[in-house]
Amino acid sequence: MPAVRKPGFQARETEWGEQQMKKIVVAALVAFVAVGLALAHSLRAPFLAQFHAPFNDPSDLAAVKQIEQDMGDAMVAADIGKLNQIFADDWATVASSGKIVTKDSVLRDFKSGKDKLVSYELGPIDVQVLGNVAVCHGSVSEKRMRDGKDISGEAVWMDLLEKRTGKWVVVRTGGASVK
Amino acid sequence: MKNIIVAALFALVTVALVFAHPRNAPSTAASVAETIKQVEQDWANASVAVDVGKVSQILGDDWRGVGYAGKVHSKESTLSRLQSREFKLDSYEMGPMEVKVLGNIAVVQGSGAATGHSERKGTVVKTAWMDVLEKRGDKWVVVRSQSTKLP
Repeated sequence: MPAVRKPGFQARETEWGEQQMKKIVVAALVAFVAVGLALAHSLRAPFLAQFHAPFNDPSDLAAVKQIEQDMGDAMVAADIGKLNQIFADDWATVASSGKIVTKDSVLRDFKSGKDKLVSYELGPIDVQVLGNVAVCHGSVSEKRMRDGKDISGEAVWMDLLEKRTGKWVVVRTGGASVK
Repeated sequence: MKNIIVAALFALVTVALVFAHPRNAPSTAASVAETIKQVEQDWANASVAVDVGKVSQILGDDWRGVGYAGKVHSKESTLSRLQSREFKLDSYEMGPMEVKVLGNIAVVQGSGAATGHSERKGTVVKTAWMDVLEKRGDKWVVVRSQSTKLP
């Protein structure tokens, strides 16, 4: 016997079908939006990198310059705790002898008095901020003692800093005596 | 209900796949370091060959370098000096290099011995240097340099 469906039942079935369709459309839209957002997030970094335009945030410039000043002050005061904060643990430089100098050895030499900065005067500093990294070029005139010998003079230097957990730290340093 | 679950699962799987897919060609720190070292070697070779075009590609337009005498050089002045052959680099023996990569920025410290001559005399200079490179597009270019004379 063929099933006889009453008109009311048919109407309810149609309504149920429309609701199902609406839910599928909404779910599909959610899926498209989610995929779109994910793709946008995925592509954003390399896309923007191609259009790199150096943007020197004034607050970053000021912070980086302040670090350089703080470093000099901490050296004069032999404030090892402060120097420990300014230099990253993986900091390194190449000394004028060609040897690699690490953070540990610098802190040790300032602590022991082997290296002593008596006074210093920074020249103008050129800072270039490249995202989370900053490069500084500068000059300094300093009165410095090493192993009891006066090695005062003028020098040019370059520091590479990185912003780590919101704080700028010095990662690499290069320098040359000019007088 | 089944359709909704299927659509939601599809969305989740697609999102997961998009995030799981590497954004750039796989490049380990080691391979980036090798690329950087090659840039440095290319720079030295191009300077010896007086290949101004090649040096121009290696240096960013905003490049600044501070030489061991304390003088600040721009890309323009460096290319001009290279072209003039005011000082001709005859050879450059590259020493060991240490590269640190910080995302799209790399810093390299190294040393080398340069042999060259000007009109008056020949010179051999050993230097230690530090370069900062930035990846612009798919190419690493040198943006800052500094060198010091070694004894």
